[in-house]
Amino acid sequence: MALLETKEITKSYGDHHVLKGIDFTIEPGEVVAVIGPSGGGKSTFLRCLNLLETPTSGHVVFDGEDLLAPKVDLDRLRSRMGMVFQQFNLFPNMTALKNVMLPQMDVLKLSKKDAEARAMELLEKVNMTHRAHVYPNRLSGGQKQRIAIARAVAMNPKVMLFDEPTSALDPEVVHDVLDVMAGLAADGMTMVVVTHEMGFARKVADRVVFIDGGTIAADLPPEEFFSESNTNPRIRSFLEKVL
Amino acid sequence: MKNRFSRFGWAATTAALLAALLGLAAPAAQAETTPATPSAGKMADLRSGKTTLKVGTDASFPPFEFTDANGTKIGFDIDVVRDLAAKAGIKNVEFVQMPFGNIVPALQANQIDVGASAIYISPERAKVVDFSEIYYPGGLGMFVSTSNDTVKSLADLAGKKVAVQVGTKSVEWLRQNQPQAELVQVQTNDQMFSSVKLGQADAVVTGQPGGRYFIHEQGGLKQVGDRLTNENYGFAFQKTDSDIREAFNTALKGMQDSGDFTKASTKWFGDETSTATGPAKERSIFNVASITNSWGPLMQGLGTTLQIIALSLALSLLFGMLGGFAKLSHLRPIRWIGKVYVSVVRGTPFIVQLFFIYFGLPQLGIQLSPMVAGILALGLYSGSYVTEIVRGAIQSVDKGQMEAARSCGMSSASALRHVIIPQAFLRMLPPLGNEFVSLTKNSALVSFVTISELFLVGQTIISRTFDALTVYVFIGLVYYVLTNIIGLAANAIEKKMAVYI
Ligand SMILES: Nc1ncnc2c1ncn2[C@@H]1O[C@H](COP(=O)(O)OP(=O)(O)OP(=O)(O)O)[C@@H](O)[C@H]1O
Ligand SMILES: [Mg+2]
Repeated sequence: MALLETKEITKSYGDHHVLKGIDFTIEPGEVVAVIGPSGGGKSTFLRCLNLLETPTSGHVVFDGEDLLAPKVDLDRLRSRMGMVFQQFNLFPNMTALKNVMLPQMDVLKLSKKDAEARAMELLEKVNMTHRAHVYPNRLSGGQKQRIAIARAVAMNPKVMLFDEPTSALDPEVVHDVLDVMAGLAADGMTMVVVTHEMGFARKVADRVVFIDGGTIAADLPPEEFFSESNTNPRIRSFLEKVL
Repeated sequence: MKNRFSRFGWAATTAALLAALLGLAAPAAQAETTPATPSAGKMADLRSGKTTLKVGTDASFPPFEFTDANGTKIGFDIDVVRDLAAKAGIKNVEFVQMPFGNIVPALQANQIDVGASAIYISPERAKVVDFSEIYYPGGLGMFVSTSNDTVKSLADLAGKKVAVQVGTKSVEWLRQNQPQAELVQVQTNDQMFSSVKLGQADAVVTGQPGGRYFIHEQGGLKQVGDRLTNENYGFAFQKTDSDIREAFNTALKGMQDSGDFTKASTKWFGDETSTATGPAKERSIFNVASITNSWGPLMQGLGTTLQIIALSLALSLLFGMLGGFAKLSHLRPIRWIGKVYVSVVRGTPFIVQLFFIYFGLPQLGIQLSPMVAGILALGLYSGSYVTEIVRGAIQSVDKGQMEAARSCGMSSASALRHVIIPQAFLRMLPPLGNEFVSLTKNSALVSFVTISELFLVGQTIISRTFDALTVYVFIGLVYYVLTNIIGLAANAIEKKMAVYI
């Protein structure tokens, strides 16, 4: 059974129809790269997956539960879907370590000691133990994003959602973050990654979803998507611009 | 009854006026009347020292009765009553502090034996208590600058500026008896005299004893013409205590004959000749004694002010938090409550809100003590500004913060508590500091509802010493220090919290 599935979701702001009926599924352990031109609705789609945006119509089913059902415990379901933002959104009023500890203590009700142990373990994984006690204002963008990933992973999510995690980074640190993400994928994490990093899509993703004009215009394995035989004109013109 | 008003100061006067305007018929608290049983042994017990003569007085009316820096009751009435009691053979005398309006009821209730508080002998009072012979002439008098030779009688006041204290008997009396006088209505007793000294008015019409006391203390003024009204002071007794009253009358006669009475009167009012044309007394501009002599009451006033500030500040934060969250609520009726609160409270003068709470609410059956009313009014008023500070600060936190917290599964309450509010609080600190400086300064306004905080204590001192300059400079300085401490504290907290900025 699919881990996460959308059925015919649409999203409109007034009479601006941003998503025009999207059907999407992802199986456990899959990595899906979402690409497409700016303004095509990629972020809106991703944010509909954990209901940061409420779809105008359609269904989102996660782990067998309909997120739009009336009495669903959204907080509990969200705690099993990690999200990583383009702008990091670390909590500036606490240290890197506390950033990773807070949701564990507040949502998973871990003791301070357990939360700290797990946080240190994850900071180790993203190579950030040496910056554990530093406030975010003293961290570089790449460091912030690795902390943000650790914060999300600490919740033991079943799926991770990334919205252009490297777009706000200096080119030389993009790889630090992509390496961490590739490591997660290798560990079997289910991931939906909105990205402009074609290299990542090609090497790490199992599928590439192309969103344009509020619809999924293509959903293919990367080797097919990027192959010369893919003659979809919208994809061709998009790839010419980014490659 | 001019003097009766002035003893409570302008705040009470204004308050009383407003109460009257609101049609507040506040019935005087009627003390439980227990019939006093005539006892032939009462005088004997007083003379043997078995019982103590209880004298009711409101020690806030210099020079008749007031308190020195140590809180000891002093004044003309106090001296005279002690002397009369001694002459009557009464061993022990105790002065009991009570509001002026309670003295006659207390006599009726047999709680005190004598009322000695510059009480006018009036037919209404004489129905329920008995009075001694007249011991001091009161009534309205006319006072002008010593250098003024043109005003000699009531008729000369036509077209002249006459200083009167707002809400006192002089105002009505002059309107009826010298309608051509141009009234300069001032708030306090001392401002009346100052306005003549400073040339802002030509004459003062006020209670004769008050005028004489000013001349005794300050000089520069003289009394002209005859007494304008015929009112006199007497000591009040229970109807059943004719023996005590007779003993006092005999002793008074003796005091007057021996010259002791003149001595007491000269001590507190100056001698007759000097009060007629008191030359301006030499004084240094600043009189440290005006402060040091009243250090105790001033510190007490400061204590009250600090208490008012602390409590209204806490209330202001509470209202501000509630208001701020109300304005951010996604429920329209709650948003609406927050909006109405801010627009009403910010759109009306503080003094109107204070008077509404203290004088208006009782009409709806909500009677608050002055302290509660003052703190509530300050808290509500300041809270409306804090509401906007809270709302602005919370809205200024990047919405990605809430999204990040929610996407981890945190509830919106948790997100607010751990993520949003701590960040918002730091941004609130500078405007909160400003707001609490305003609150500190506004706290002086609660003197209007008769709270003896720093400012009112200062005014009381001025009514006794007439040293407005020194006292206001000192009080200003105290507020200056307070506001600066608040400013520094806000800065220090901000600095300490801003480690992550
Ligand atoms: N809250 C909103 N209100 C109105 N319009 C919105 C809102 N959010 C997004 N949009 C519009 O929806 C469209 C899709 O936006 P979205 O952010 O999903 O695009 P995107 O594919 O992520 O683009 P980019 O690559 O630039 O991030 C845009 O035209 C955008 O202006
Ligand atoms: Mg986007």
